Amino acid sequence: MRSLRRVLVAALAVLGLGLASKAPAAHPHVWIEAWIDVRLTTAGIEAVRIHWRFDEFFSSLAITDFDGNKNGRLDPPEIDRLVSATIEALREGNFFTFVRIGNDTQKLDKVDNFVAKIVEHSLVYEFTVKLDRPVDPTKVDVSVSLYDESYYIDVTLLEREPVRFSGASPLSCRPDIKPDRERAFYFGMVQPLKIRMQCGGA
Amino acid sequence: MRRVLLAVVFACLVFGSTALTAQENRPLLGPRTTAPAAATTPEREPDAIDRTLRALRALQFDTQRRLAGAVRALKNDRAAVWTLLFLSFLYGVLHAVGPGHGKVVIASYLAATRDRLRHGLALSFASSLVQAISAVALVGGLAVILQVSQMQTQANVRVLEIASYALMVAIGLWMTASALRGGRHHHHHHNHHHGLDGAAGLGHGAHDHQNAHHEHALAQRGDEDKSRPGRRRFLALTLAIGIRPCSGAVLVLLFSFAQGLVLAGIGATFVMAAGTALTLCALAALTVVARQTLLRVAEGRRGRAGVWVGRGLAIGGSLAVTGFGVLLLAAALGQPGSVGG
Repeated sequence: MRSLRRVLVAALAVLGLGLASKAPAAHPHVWIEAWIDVRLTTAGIEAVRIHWRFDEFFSSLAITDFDGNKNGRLDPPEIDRLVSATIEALREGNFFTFVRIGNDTQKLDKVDNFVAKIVEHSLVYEFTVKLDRPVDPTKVDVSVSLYDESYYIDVTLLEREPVRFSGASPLSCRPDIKPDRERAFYFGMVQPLKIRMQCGGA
Repeated sequence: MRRVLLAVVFACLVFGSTALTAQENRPLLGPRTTAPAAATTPEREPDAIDRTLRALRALQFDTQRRLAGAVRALKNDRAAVWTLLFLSFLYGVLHAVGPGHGKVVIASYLAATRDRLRHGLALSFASSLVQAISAVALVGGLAVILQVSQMQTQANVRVLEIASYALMVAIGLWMTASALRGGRHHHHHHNHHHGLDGAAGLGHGAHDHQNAHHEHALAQRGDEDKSRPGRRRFLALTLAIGIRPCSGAVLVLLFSFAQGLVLAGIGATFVMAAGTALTLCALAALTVVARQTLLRVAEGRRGRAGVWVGRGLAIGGSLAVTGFGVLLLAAALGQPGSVGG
């Protein structure tokens, strides 16, 4: 009896240590549909432009709260206020964008050309992640994963052409999209998708 | 009564299983979200969980998108109300399929106690109803009356969440105390319908005489739900699950209110609660059946296996409620964002 109790308490303690360190949401509350544009130059991959489209519920919250003059839409100054109010949270989450070059994941303190707009009732964010220097994807593994480890936001990829390549380059690339077991979160049950750039040519 | 009960259980199970298979077949899933199934290696187990959760998220997203469309359509077309209510119901079922504190409380509690199915179902419906009321009160009070911003209103789910989890810890401790106290008396087990006497919750006094025990158990069955501790316990459990509103309901309400459709939002919230209740009662039915099967098998053995299994369930279930309550509470207090189901 006493030993049973001790075992149970020990089991709970172990479970507690495991869970308390990270406290994910039980399921996502915000959805983002994303697609990315990989910018190529002669030297390889130079930058990635990220496109997000938020779900209508979250978009409605944002529009309602930041529509200061109550005209039913967000005017440019209102959009600016929305962006400055939310950008810090994005930075804390590394913009939910994890660019891996070889074994290194880029830490994103800032992104470039941040654009926010409303398209058909939905809030759209676009921004560019510049690589420190262009990387030749035929020599080094380059991959992009979009996810929120706290499981509060679910980032899904657009079904049609979630990855596009642009820019003048002799490389010809195609994306290889697979769940990434190494980066599993939510008690190891959710595997984010990893977009690996498979390039050839030159 | 029995026939009604059976019908309800059957409906629950059918709905529960269709909700689950719906993820697999993904009939509602539009062509827009990625299906990585082909890319995964089939031989390992975690991938199945990952795939299921991914499909569930996608289905939830898709339902949500349709829900938003239905609310918008309602502005011009009254008939859209039926679409809205149907989708709300589906959303309620789906939202509850994922992990959440209500499920932990219901499953652990029913595994630990000899409460019958009827109580489990009543608990499922009552707590879902309280969740809907809580969502309407939150949005009505903050966003409408106090004119708090929508994002702030949604963030305030956290306050109710903390109240829910604190109550969950209290109930867990109370259950644990009762289970341990019950374990000290060496009751003989006469009839498996009674389950384990002294299981969590009903903290009755000592009964050292075996004869008295049997009488007591029989008498108790009759007035179990009418007794004051029974009613108090039911209320405490209902509040522990229900005070925290479903975040999905809060979103639908905020969205409908922003569109100027207050009544539709409230209606959708209550229909959503009915969907949640259905998922919860499927879980309740499953738990009660599992517990009874386990006890029956154990009691078929020689010796005191039945008593030990009953006691193990009582203590394990009580500790699960307490433990998860503590973890969720710690997480909710420690995080600025929203946590939990």
